[in-house]
Amino acid sequence: MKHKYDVLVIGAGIIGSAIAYFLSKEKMKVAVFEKENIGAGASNACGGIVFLQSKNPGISLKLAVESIYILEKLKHEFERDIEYEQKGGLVIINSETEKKAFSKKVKEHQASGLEIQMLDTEETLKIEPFLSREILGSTYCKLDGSINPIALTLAFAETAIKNGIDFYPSTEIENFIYENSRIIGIISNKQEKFFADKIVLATGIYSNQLLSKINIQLPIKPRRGQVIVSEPIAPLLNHALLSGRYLAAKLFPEILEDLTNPLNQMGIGLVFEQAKSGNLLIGSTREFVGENKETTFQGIEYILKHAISIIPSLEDINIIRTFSGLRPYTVDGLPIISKLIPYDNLIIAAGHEGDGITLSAITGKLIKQMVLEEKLNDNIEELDYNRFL
Amino acid sequence: MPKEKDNVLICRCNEVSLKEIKEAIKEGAITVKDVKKRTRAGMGLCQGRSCAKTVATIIANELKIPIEQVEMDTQRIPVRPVKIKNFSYKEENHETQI
Repeated sequence: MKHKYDVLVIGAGIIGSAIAYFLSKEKMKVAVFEKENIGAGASNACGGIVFLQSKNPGISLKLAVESIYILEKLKHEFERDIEYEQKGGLVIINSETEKKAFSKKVKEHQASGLEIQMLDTEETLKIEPFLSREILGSTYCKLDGSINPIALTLAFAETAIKNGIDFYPSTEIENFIYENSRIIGIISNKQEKFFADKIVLATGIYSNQLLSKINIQLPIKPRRGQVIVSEPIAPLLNHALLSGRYLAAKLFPEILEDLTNPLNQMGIGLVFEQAKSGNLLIGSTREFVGENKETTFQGIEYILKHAISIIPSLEDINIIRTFSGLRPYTVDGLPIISKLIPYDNLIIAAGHEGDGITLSAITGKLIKQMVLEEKLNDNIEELDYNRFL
Repeated sequence: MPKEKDNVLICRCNEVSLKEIKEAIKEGAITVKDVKKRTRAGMGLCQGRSCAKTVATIIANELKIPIEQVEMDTQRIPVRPVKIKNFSYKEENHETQI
């Protein structure tokens, strides 16, 4: 069997599905391949916070701002309810060290135009009365919020399929097809051949398996995040929350270097939101344990201890499930959105770690522009894979 | 008659009907987890302990495949709902009985 397309997209996680959606609106023949089914990996094993204040000023923040603008529009376009709500987000400050680091960060954010402010303990408790009186304050950004990542992935993929792309679930890529040292297609594990002008990899933590066939390796590795789901309850908090520890791991890792603290060993930080269904999503760990997707008693215990120190009234709420996902971590915390030179028709979008849901929309749009060889929305040289060479 | 049968609730926790599950399969769900993501069947208090096998049977019937080929959902802790305070219990809180 021989198939001819304009573009092949490998992977139907949040990134591949977003790319498929944007390509499906162009007059192009597109095929999407997925080794399991839509959103089988990290994309649907995560929380749903969509935050701006967790991004460093610069390319990260710029892309996040553009992405939430698109998500807000898509919310009305998609048939499926993606439960996106800009309900405002808080980062809870628990120590003097965090307070110092976050005051500086808030000033940088304000200088770059982000509407964010520092609240003291009283001001924070006034808008979130269920928080502990022990907290030292918070930083507040009204554009932060949350979304349902499962619904968002499905909405992108379903809409793309409705618009006419071909979707091949349970299909793996066995190899690339070459012609004069140029890649012109792929062979599936079902021995079918697919040819196309452009091939896009949205393969998250599995990228290197595929790239080893063309002797390219990227510094992407799986980082496990464990998450807990509670029973559905009446609205508890008005905002989505992060603890200072959660963000410190990304923005100032030096304050978490003391490894005698078990919270630091497992990279525990609180990420907390209430889904539309009423269930609380409570995360998370950040651990390098290869491709192990289990949840651990210790991980769950430490997340909940940390959570209860910030929200004491969680005590009597039941948890009903735990899960974990493998986020595609990169050394510099930035995704890779890039051509894979010397193969200039091979494009990758991977390594978003915990930002994949937030950055999905803008990533899809940028990849569409790269595929069509249009002028890009943003200068994304910083995201090129040549930064690691 | 078939219409009435379609209204039978398969997931009682989240009130998901047979019809909704059949629709999810038509839209591309092939595993118990796929059905869960599309319909919320198995996402409630019992976490699919009552309905997961029924959902698997429906998938097998609709796709005309043996039930052994239907991928079940991952089982994880906790086995039943557990209060959060059980994880944060501090030693000093133990009340000594006299």
